[in-house]
Amino acid sequence: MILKICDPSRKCLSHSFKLFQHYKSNTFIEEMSGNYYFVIIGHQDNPIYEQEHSSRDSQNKKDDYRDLCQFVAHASLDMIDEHMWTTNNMYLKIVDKFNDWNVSAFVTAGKQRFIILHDVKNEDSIRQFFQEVYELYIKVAMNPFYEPNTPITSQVFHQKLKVLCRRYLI
Amino acid sequence: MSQCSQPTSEFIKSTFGPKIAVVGSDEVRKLCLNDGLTLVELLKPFSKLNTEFQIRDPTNTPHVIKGLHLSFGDPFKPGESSQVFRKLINDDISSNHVPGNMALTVKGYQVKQSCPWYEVFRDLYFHYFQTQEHDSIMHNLACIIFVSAHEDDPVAQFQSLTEEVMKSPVHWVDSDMMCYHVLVQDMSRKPKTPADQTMQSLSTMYGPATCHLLNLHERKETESEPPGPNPWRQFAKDRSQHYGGETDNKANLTLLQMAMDDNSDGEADPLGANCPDTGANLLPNPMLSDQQKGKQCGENLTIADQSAIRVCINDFVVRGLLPFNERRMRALNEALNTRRGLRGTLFSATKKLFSAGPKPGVAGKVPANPGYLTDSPEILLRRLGDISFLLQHYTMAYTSYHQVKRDFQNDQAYNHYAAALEMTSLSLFMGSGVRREPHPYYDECINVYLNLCKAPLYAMRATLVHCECLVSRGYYLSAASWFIKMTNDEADLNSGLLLEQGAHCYVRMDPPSLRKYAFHLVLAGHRYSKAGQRKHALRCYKNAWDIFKGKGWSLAENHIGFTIGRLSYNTRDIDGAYDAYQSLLTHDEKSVHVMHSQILFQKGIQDFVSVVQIYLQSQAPGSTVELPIPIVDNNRIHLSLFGEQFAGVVKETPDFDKVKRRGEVELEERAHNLITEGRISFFKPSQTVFSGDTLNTFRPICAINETVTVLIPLKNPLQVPLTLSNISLHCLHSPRDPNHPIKQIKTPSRGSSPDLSYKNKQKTAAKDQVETSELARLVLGPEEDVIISLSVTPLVEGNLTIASLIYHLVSTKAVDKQGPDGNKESVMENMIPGKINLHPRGPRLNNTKDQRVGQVYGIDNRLNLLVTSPLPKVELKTASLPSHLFCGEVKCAVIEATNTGATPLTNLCLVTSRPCSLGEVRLSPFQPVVHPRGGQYCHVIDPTYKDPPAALVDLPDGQLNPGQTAYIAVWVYGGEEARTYDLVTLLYFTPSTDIPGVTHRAVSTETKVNVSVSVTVESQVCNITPTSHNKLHLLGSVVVNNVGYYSLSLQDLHVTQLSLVSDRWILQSLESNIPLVVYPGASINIPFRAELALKESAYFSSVSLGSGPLVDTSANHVLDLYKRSQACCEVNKNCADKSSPQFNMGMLVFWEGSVSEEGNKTRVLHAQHHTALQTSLVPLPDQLLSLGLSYKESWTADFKTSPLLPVPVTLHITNCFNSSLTVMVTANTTAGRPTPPKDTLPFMWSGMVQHKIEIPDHVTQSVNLTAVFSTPGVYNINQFTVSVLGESGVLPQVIDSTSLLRVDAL
Repeated sequence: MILKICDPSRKCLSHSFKLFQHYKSNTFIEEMSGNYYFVIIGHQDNPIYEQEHSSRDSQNKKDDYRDLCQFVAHASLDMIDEHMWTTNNMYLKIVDKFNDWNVSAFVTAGKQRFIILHDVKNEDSIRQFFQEVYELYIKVAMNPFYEPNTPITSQVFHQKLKVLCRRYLI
Repeated sequence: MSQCSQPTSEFIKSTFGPKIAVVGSDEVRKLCLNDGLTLVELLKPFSKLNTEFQIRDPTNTPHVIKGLHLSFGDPFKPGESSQVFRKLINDDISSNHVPGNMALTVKGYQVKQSCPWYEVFRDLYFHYFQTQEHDSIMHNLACIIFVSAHEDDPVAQFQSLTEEVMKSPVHWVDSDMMCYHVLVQDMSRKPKTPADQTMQSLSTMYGPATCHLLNLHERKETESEPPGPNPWRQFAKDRSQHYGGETDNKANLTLLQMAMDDNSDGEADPLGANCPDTGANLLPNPMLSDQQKGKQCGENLTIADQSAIRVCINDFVVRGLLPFNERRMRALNEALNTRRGLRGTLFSATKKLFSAGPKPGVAGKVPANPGYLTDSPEILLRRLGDISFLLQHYTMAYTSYHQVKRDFQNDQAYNHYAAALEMTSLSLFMGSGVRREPHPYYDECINVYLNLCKAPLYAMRATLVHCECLVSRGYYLSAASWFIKMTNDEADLNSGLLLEQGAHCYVRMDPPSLRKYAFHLVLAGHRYSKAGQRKHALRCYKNAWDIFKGKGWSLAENHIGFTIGRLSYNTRDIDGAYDAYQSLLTHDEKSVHVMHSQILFQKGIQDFVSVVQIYLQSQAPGSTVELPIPIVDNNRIHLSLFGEQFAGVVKETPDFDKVKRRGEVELEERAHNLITEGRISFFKPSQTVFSGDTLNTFRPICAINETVTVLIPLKNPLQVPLTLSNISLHCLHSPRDPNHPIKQIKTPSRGSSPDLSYKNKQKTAAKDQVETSELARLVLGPEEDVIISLSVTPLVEGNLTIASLIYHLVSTKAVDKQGPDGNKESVMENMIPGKINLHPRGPRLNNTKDQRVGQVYGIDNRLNLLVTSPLPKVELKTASLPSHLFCGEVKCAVIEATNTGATPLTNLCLVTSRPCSLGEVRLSPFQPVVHPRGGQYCHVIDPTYKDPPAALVDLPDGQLNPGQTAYIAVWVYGGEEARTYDLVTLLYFTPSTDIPGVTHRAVSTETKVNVSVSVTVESQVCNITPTSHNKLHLLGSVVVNNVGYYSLSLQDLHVTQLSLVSDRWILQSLESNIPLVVYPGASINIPFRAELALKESAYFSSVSLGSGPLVDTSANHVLDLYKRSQACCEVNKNCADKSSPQFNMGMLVFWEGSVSEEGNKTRVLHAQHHTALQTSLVPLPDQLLSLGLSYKESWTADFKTSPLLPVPVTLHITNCFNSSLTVMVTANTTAGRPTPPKDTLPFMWSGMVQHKIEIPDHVTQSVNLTAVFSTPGVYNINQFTVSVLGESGVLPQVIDSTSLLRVDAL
């Protein structure tokens, strides 16, 4: 019953929620399409790794939507926590939307949540991206010096993730 | 959605209750105004009727009406202009910002559940909502006409008013509406016509059921009566708020914009403000003058009056309203039933017609409203529904609405359709027997209002009711999405309210969506702040902050924190602003990345400075606050004793080299051992540098008036520049406790702070206790790291703790000022005093299990200074120490040691890390001179002389007084290896008086010395020959190889002197002067000769080569340098090896050269090299004898006749030694040789094969031997051994040559 009700809610979120006005002008969307914001979220809802990626060289205005990304990603956790019990897959597809941002999620076996905010739909690539990041994440998590749920500072992880971003998030 | 004060059904009953138009004559209005009320206000407190009424519905079934809620309104009152409405909403909401106490705890977060401002908003929205034709439920159901009995002709008044009402453009539910007539009599006055008469004429005219006499002011004011509760008090409160209350000026937004958009109907916009913006319009009721606004409302009305009004309304309902509408219902029902047949055909026809047409919900061209006649069946059906709904007959209402909505839809009368949908849903909701879910109708209704009718005002109203219904049934998610859907870009206040309600819906979900709640609160706060509702915005942000805080969402936290700071500042909540900024600027290590928006923080710092300024005004004067910026890296704080008064920026803290430090401690300990001479004494290395790398368990000891330099690394974490001024150190001072031995303070204790014992007594150091330097101004660039250097000079004995860094944080604001000479930009500066506490932490401990498992840190005392009475202090100048040397070079440098302390020092001791030798010491500047000696000389080394581990400087009085300078000559030796090394020069000294805690002090400097290659020296003994007079001569040679061929600067290298250190041999001068110049790449061979001394002693003999003067080898430094050389070590090692008696000597080669330096200067350099020589006690033992064989080399024999051939051989032995020797000759082909020779044929010796003979010195004797051969061939007959029998044993002599003999057969 609850699930039935959630669907219209997401729809209306996507259409009507234009609060941060400067985010919604059409020129802005055209300039900024192909943007991604990736975040790994720990068990206390704390971000442990953040990465932004843009498939185009649209670096301007980047600061403006950074905090919005964090808000959207954090708000989508409620949807993710609800969705992850309805499927056996780790990849949850698009779970939430806000304005032009789609939120795709991936929940690992250890219930670490990977979230991507993207403004273009790109399901297969994002699925592959999540899989590969999962592999990378496992390697980080197996490091005895890495304390779980703390920010990932490994440069190797960072570099490899950037390569993955370039490969999949186009 | 928040919890509302009234239940949902009550809300709907009051919102959609019967509307009653109230009309009064002028006299009645005046009467009311005397009580400070309008007519509507007079009735309003009694609009809710708690009694139950019973009616009969069209099927004659009894129906009970409970809790009827009438709403009275003045039909002639002009509609409020949108500005007034906007202002009312804004004011009411801004004055209503305190949430109720109802709270919900969700996952540990407190969520306040009641939002009274939302209800205020909703009530106002409904109150001022102007209905249109299609929305007939909101139309007036009946009319009450009030006329005063004091009028000239009340009956005529009634008639004229009734006509007026009939003509007015007011909408009525039923055009045939009911009028109720109330005659008001003021009992304090006497009417012209008695009221009873008027009533009678009224009854005859209108019927007794619709007339009523209302008596007011029945009792005199003079009569004492306990004042009852005044139901009108709230009007007085509201009014005073609207007039005198502080209003927020920033009223942008709201319904004006909404109304502007709402022009799709083409009708006159009820809220579209065509009214001119005049001051009068802004008053809620122009009739209320200023003198009345202060007057208490309804204070003249007694309890009896209240009950009279109540009775009047009750009468109106029971006698007028209900029976009339009961009849209307019945009539409408009948009328509809008669038309049903016709309607059925009409219905089916329209259905066919429009089934293929555009469907509602699909956005098409908006059709014009088909006009319905007032008696058209649709309108009649709708009217039946309305009356049933108002009379709470929800079943009948539902059937009517449900039927009529389909008709409206088919007719594409979307306004009517949407209104019918709304009412269908509400009837379902209110009806007790629920057959269907009411919500889909409402969803459809809102969509139709939004998309087809383009009536956002109606959509909004529908949403407010719909969400209330949804929430009451527990559909929070749908409610949230509707709330959020109704937000728009223009109306900020509305959107803020709706978003906040949406957020509340999320949190009431099961499970609660706390994160969505937080996000929507932030959005709501954003809209509130845009609408100028700062207190509401602040509350939203603060609630969201509780959820976001401490999770590491750096940017989100920054956004919220910064907004809270600004809003708190703007609402004069200085404490709140201070806390918000403090946490905002505090660097959080947990955050993944710290990227701050530059503009945000530029403004933020300005605000922060202003906030702290105001905050400080509320604190005690002179107090400072601990500021979070800039960041001090506590672990890298660097303290060095013996500093200078200085305040500035340094590039980097000096590196700490553990190896070097160990070397220094070693040097210091060496000096300490020399001074204490092995007495048992606790050695504690004196530490002058305290940093993160040193062990800081001991407290720095500093004397009065000695300056301590503290280097503090600062970091600006922000992306905007920070300006600091007046930076200095803040110190705490406590007098020394004589009962508190220093050692106990120093003993490192785990756990609690070691200084606790005296910290209590600490107080802020006054200016006469400590002198600190001040850095006037420092600008830290974005994310810049800077190390500042500050100094502290204690002036009083005791304990001094450097507690904090104090400074002023400056915020600069560019202000454009019109100067006399044109435009000039001046900068306004705002500054606040701040401090950062310094608390360096010791290293993490790892000794016990507790320490390994937990995180235990050692103590760090680097900022807890112990200030002692004045101590001597040495300033060391080592400018003349060379920076470049050649291998073997010896150079004299003068070190200046000045006692800059306040007391004399003793036991000055110099230690260096490399072979150096102490020379002369004087108290005045001098040039060390090398005393020349002529020719050749020899002196005896003092056997007790030892190479000193450290050199005690021989001071004239044994002490160096303050201000005196000791000049110490030091011979620096280049060493034998070309490399660069650090020459550490350490001066150790003790204070002349005993000062507890201070055994000694030390000061050291370091000089980098670069050593380049010059020559290599080898020496060897060639021969030892006996001379006459029973003396032995040693002949040897020294090879000097100039390898410095690539160092062109070294020229004119020539050997000047040879010296020999030996206990038996004395160097003799050579006969001839041989050339001694060594060219680059060349080598020369210098022969030397030495003579065996008669007596064993430590001889140091020198011989000059060439014409130059001799180096005075009796000077200590020559011997010192030799003793520390590798050659000397080798000699000593060989001497220790007693197994083979040998002579071990040290050979010293002195040479000179010239080096061209900068500025065409030439420096003559002196150098000495050392090499070890080794020779045995006697001349080589196998050369004592000289041996020779004489025999015939070729023989012919016939071995057939005689098998053996004897051959005579003569051995000649010469004694080469000075005395006679006993020689043993053994002729044996195998004896004496490890292996028999394989290259020759075997033979035998015969006859006497062993001889023992005595040979005097230098005499040759012969031994005859016979060799026997049996086969022809070539033989080596050198197969015998000769050995000398000495006292110490047998010395075998070797015959090297091969002696061949050939035997031929016949």
